[in-house]
Amino acid sequence: MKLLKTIVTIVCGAGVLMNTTYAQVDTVRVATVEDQQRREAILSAQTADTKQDNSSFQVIIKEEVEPQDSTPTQLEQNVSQSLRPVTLEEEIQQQRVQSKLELFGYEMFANVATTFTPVADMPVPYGYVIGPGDTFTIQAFAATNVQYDLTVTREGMLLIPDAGSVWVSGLTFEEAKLAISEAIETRRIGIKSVVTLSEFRSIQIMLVGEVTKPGSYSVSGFSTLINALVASGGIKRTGSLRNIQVKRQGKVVTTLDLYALLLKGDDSANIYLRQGDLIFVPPVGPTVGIAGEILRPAIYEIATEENVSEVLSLAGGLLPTANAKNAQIERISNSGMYTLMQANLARKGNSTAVKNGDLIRIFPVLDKMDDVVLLSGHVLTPGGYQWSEGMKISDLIESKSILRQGAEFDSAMIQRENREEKRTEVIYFNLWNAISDRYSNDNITLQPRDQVIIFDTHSPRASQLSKVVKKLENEATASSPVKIIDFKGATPHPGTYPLEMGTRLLDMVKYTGGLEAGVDLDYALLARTDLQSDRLYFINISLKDAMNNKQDHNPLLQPKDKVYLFNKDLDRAALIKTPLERVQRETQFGQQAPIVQVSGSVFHPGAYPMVPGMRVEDLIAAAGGMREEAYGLAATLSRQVLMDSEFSRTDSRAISLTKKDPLLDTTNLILHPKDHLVLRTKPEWVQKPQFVEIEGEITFPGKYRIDKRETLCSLMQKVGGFTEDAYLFGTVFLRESVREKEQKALDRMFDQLERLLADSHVSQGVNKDEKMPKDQRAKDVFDVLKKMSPEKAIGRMVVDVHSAVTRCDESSDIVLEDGDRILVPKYQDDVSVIGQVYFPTSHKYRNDRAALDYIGLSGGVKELGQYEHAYIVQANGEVMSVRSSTSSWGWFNSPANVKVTPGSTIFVPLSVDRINGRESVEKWVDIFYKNIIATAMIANLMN
Amino acid sequence: MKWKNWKNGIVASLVAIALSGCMATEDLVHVPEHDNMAKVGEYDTNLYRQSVHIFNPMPIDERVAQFKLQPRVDHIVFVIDQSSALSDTIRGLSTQFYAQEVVRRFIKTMPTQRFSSTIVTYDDAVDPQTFAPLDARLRVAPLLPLELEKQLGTRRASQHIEVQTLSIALDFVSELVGKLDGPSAVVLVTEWEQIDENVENAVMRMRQRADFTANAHVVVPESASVAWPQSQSGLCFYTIGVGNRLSRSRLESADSCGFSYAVDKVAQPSNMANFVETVLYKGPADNDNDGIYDYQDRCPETPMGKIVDYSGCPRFPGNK
Repeated sequence: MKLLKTIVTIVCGAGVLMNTTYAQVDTVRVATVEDQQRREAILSAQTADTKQDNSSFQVIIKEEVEPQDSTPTQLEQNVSQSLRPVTLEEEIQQQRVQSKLELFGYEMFANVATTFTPVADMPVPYGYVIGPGDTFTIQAFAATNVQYDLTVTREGMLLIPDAGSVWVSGLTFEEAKLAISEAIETRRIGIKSVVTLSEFRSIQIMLVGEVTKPGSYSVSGFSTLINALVASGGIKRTGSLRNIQVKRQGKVVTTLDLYALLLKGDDSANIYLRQGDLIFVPPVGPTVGIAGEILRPAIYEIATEENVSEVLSLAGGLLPTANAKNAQIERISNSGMYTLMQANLARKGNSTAVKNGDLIRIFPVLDKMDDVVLLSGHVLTPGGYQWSEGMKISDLIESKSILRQGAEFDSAMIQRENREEKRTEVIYFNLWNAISDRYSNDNITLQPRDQVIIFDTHSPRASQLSKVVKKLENEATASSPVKIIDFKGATPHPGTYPLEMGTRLLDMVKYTGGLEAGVDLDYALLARTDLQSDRLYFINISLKDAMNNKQDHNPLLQPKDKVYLFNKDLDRAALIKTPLERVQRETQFGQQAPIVQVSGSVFHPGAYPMVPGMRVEDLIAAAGGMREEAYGLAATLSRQVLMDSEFSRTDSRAISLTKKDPLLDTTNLILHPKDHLVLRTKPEWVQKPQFVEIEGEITFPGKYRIDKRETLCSLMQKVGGFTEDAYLFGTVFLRESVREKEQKALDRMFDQLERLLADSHVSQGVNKDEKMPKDQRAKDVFDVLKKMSPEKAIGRMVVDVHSAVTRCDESSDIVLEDGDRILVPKYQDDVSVIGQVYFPTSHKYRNDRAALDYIGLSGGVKELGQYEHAYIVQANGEVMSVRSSTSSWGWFNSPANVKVTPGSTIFVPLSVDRINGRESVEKWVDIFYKNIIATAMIANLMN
Repeated sequence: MKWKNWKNGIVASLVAIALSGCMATEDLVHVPEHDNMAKVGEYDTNLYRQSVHIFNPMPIDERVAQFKLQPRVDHIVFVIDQSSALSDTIRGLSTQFYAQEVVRRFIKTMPTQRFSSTIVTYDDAVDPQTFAPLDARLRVAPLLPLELEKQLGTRRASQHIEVQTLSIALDFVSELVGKLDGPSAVVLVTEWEQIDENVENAVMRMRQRADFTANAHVVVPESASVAWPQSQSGLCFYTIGVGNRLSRSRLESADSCGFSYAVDKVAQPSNMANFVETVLYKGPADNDNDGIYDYQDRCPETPMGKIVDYSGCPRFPGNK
């Protein structure tokens, strides 16, 4: 459709031009749309030219000045169009060839004033021919002093007063001057005369043809052809610069070639104009464009030039960067198509004949440096070096002094451009050998354009190699896969490396910085991509075997190989997760993903790739071996069995890890895909040693290690029993688990308290008690409680140590836990009374006194306290309230005289009623007090 | 039709009054009632239960041939408990029947080839006088599965022991197993509750008599005076439990061959096929020990230590 349209436009455009166009259009072979457009442009240009031709024959000076320099002519447009890329290869070079060409020489007329100002102040040119209208100034002196201004009459005479007429027309100025002086001096004797030309006559000339402003001009008689052309605005870009004709009475008197003027400075054809001269500028002749590495790329009109070399000299010759061997001439062939000709300008191409419409392209020389080697990386003087035949590494790196500190000696790389295959390849070598021994194999003979890369020991190599890797990736094709390999895991410089074909695994390991200390020598993985099917498979590598010259474990590396090295710390599962996921993804129907799993007491539980012939022992090795606590007798292998190859079920079997019984499945069992091995932990395995601490009145106090189910009784035998001063009843038994529980309760209480505080601030419904100011109350309660409460729970357990160590039976003995602390105090025969009493003090224990008696001895309860709220903390840690039911019987809720033990503390708290009547508060206070007292007690006992 | 709509209207309004809040949702779901709707209880669910009695054996002959399965044991002895402990009725059949049926299914699943095998039934002594236990010399014979099935009989197999306890019966089997050369498998079918400490000890004795290692420590048998010969040929002891699995079987341990199975599980054709294969066969053969089974191995004589691919051929044939 589009084509049809373009054809129609062509027909319309061409119809104006000639009748035969129809026939031509029919025969045009439409190559591309682009071609069509190009052709169309040419045709419309031609029509435009003819139109202009018609109008320019009218001798009318147009008022509007055509913008000459801004718009390129059709010719230029055409050439520019044809400068667009022709072939794909050319596209790259195209950037270097100018995209726009202009017609040569026309800029001469670009910046000329448009008004016609004849030049009047110049001396009379030699050879100027006098004609009618010229004015002479004659001064006669000596006898008389007269000056005349005389004009040459139409007949060509000069009428001189007192001297008659002199015929001057047709004479040159010099001749006329002589004739006039002679006439005066002969006719008037004794009078000297000075003759000069004061005013020139003006002449009428006509400019026609391809000029900017054709028409009739009145110009100074001095005007030359070029004056007239410049003054009249110059030649249009459609006009010829090489064939400007001056016609005098129908005859061509001169033909001006402006190129001769512009290029050689030859103005011999620049004649003085005469009255009635006609300047004719014919349309531009045949043109040749020349672009590229040339002094003046432009479109040139050719006159006498016939071959390329002559055109080149028009354009000023080739630039030094021009590639003379490979120029192109784009030509419109006889068949009406564009053709391309190669021309070797250094040889015969120079004499190729040029034709109208040719475009000569001169390409630059290739931007490539040959005979150079590049040294880069960890060196002091990186950069290019001259290459010479037989040059070796040791010639490039003559001494170690050009290497920077920390340069890697074990490996360096040459990046080479293979000239035959046009592919990048790399060669690794041992730098130390190359430098130290000239005749070693590592001292490789360099080729031109080799790039030697020196590594260093510390920085990652991936970034240094990324350019090469990128290059190799770009060069990869379907048949030649990208020659890179990956090193991952426990290697000094993990990353992507270019592969030198024919390298074995251990060599490559050396080039990547060698084996790290602690690398797993029994298990490494080589993930290989099958180059035909592009599917991943794995090969188990034992580096130990590889180093023992078993070539199977030191295979030749292939493109796209990935090497995984492990050590004991690395998270193996995370490292091989990606390839495993890929394997899983690639598994098709009818296959099973070759992945096996191991969990339990191995160093690196997780999923591992299953390799052909893999056995249970291999899997255990892959997982880094069994841990200390692993159950060494047996493991469980769960196998996914496909029934009728459709129904999946899991079948578990026991694997004997030790026995060589052929009836049992042993570690020699061949794994199937998706097998899962579970290694158990030894029964009752103790991962962490457990300790208890025993202090105080003990024969051998200290930290003791305990077994599971160790009891206080058995511990006492180890520690040598109690001293004589030991107060068993007051033993403090601290347990971590109890402390944690207490701490949790404490935290929870504070939490509740804070919440309640917030609630009481917003609620208005607690007006029952009038004891506290309304707003102060809640805050105060909180503050008081906070002050009273202990920061940390202590975790004291009330135990009956006496019966535990004496009876040693199940009912009374205490099983110890890790972190238990046992503090056995000295016997104390005092009872302390603290809190809201008048004289908080200690009293000698007496058998016949009870709690309330001691309070009484301390001066009794203060106003802020109450008997009813008193607590007794017995020496064994039990807390009793005087109100508690365990005390001797009395009235309900009335304080009872509780018996106290030596070393106990009686505490009379602040009466909570004084703070707030709320029950919850009372409850908290209760708990807090117990905690505080317990803490206080221990401090008391241990002093 | 009309009166129903009217009725619905009343219902709707009642609901609306009752649950003024959720009126809208209550009225949206209308479930019609049909008199001819079937109830679950009306289906003859017994029909499906019957299907457990139909057994289509899944023969493993093909697998044995295809995968070149390696025999695990040379001899196989079935011990079927037919004592009074197995007189419970489950689904209309006595547990004794189940005990026998599971062995029958085992035999039906076995590949058609001769096995050195026998079936021993045990009954707790009805009249110890009529059956002197020491006279019972058990023996195995190479039999085809068909012949073995004939031996099975109905309640008593051709080799029948009547002794007081199962442990004593097992001691008789030990006697047989201890004499055999080559490893043997013993399949005991009994009720779970029968497996007590004595049975455990009996099985341990049996294992020790057939222990693979020469200097095995022998637990003193019940009658210490008897000098027990040892075969050193290996034993796999399998238990198939009938009835409620109240007690865990203590007969299996990780480092000895054999395990236990529940009868209702093993009686399914596919499970039975799996069980038979596990008892009789070790796994596919791998003669060149490259980790690729022979039936997959295209290079059957790979040298040791070579890395192989999935077809069993060297991955790097060019390497030393």
